[in-house]
Amino acid sequence: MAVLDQSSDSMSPAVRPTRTAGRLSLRRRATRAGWPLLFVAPFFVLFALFSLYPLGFSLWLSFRDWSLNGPARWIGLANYRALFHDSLFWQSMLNCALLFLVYVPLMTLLALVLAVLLNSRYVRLQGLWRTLLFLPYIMSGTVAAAFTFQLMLDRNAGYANKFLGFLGVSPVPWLDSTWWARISLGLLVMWAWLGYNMLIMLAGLQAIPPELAEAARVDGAGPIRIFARVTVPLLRPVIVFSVTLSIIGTFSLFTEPLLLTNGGPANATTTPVLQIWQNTFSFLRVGYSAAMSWIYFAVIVVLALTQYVLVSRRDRYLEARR
Amino acid sequence: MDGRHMLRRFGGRSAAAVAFVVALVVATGAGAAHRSTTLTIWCWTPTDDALKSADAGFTKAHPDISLNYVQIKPADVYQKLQLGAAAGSGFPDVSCLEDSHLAQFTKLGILADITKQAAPYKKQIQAYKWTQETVNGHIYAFPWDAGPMALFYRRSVFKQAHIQPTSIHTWNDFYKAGLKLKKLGIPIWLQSKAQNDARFFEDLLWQQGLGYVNAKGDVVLDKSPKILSTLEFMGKMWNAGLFGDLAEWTDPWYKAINDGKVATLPMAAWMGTFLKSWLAPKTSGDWGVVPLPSWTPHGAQTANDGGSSLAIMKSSSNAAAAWQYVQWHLGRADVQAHTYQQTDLFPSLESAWRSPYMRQPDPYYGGQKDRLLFEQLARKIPVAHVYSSDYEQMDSLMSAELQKYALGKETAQQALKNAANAIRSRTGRS
Repeated sequence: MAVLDQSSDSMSPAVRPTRTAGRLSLRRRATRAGWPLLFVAPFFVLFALFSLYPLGFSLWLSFRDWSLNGPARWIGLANYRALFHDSLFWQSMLNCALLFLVYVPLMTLLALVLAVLLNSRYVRLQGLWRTLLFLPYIMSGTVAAAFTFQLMLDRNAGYANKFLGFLGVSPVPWLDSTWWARISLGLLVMWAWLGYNMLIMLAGLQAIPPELAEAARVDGAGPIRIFARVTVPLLRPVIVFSVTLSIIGTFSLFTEPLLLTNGGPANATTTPVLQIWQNTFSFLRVGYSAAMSWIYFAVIVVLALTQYVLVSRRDRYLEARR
Repeated sequence: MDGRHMLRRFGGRSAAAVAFVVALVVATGAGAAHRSTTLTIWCWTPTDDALKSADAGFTKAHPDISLNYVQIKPADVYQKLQLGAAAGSGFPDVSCLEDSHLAQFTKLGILADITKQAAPYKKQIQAYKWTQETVNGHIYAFPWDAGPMALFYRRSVFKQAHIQPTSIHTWNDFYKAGLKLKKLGIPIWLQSKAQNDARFFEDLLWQQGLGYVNAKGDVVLDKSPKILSTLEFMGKMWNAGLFGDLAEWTDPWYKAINDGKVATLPMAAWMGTFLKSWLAPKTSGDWGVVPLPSWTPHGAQTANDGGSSLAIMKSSSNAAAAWQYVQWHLGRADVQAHTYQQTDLFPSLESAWRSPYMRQPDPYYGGQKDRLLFEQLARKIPVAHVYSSDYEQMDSLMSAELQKYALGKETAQQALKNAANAIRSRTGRS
């Protein structure tokens, strides 16, 4: 990129000859290349300021002991060593794994079925249904959604238990038992992300040539068989994508558990990000939190890669078409 | 210069332009200096009401100082102060701080040293407060209210259950009263199992001169038979179904207090301001106050819960005016007696206790002279080590173990052992 910048002094020898080129042609080159550079510059500046710099800073911090104020003392690998014995941090990882099992399989299946239904000729008002299903995604980031769930799920005064009572079911300790709290959190997250995943599946479905289902139908396959043997296998890359996002999403949950359960009861719904945040801003153990962030990052990368390797087989059909 | 030419030049200097933008972004982060003697004060309700009730006199005496109150709830005050510490700016001149969190901020080094100015007040204010404001002999905050604890009881409920409030001397009496109240379907006190915040547990420890740590700062949670029996007492209350399972400071909790669905509130003097102002103003006259039940027949009949202080920020460019403000609001007996009357924030300034107001009957407590009782109790608050620079972390770790114990997932011994070990490994204490 330095080639294109007239004022840059840090040109590598390989590109230095440009400087000897005619003044006009160089200007033209600079203009031609400089403009796009200027247009993409905001991203790179923001990225450097708000992503690259914090990333480097957090790595630097992870080897230090710092309480936001005063000097950051070098302590080598002590933070990382302490982390391996921090049961609360590993509990938060385990919570995410459990939470993942609670809602992701169900959500993925539901998203798939809904996408197929909304893609079929039989359902009317498709736009309306899609919008309705997608709406929670827009609202979910808001504090209001979590508070609404909290009000609904209150054991004594919530609508969920009032409704169950109306049906003759005894009240459920939605937020007051470790497992129910995980289920409640899963419900909130599923409600929020179902529409998004449905949309991904829908896009994948629309990329599948209709003649394949047609051919299967001619061969005598029923709708369920077509779904299981044609649609789902062809949709595999899209499903892998959606589940990968869900893994990352589940392990980076923050707002929802903070507001719905505050990580409780008995740490059953605390998440790594909640731990990182709490250690930084409540306990002022900034270096420790930085180390936590890096371990957490490593775990997510490993999980996502494992899932990718396990689930994504080469697609024979697409392979053949190439 | 035609447009094209200018644009071309600009394109060639995109790097310079970008650098300029970066400089701008960075520059806006730098703090704007105070220009006049306007003091910015961070506080929450009801501390802002209390402070404001003394402002008329202050403004008369110091017409050159104007006051700018920013109402922020405690948790947000702490968050903002921490972020300010990291950024090196964004502080008020004066901030209200709860005693529980004070040590964290003195350790952070953002509070102004007021040792010299506060020295004349040393003998006029309760000794236990000074230990919380002092680090290595330096004073970093000015003591405000104390949190002497008592047993607030609902008169009508006690009458219905035929319980004499004065008959509750010990926590065992409290347990027995709870059994009687259970027959009426009214819990004697509310303690959430799944959302317990360990605050009541801490109060019970404080009453016995105990805490998370000892005077040296070493963790003692798992080393004291008294702490174990305290936790087991809470377990006994839960098992007998005497505690209502409601989380504090939530709507169902407010409703229970309003509706007479809880018989007592073992809480601090400051609870009065919440009850009277918005929590349960309609129950006026139906409450009474007796000393806290003790652990042994002649043991301490009170503990401390909370309490707060005013701190001047080291960064304040109006330190002199800020000190005038603090001195006026917290250092004058007449002002402190007045704010106590306004908001039930019990003054730790002992000279304020001589006010005739202390002897007036309080209609909210059925005409009882509760302030005299709080004065007696405040004199006997035991010295304990519940609060420290790691308090928030200790409280958080203990809460989780307390929840596990309450939900029957571990024994009291395990809960204390786990909490103590977690605190040791996380805070580096022995």
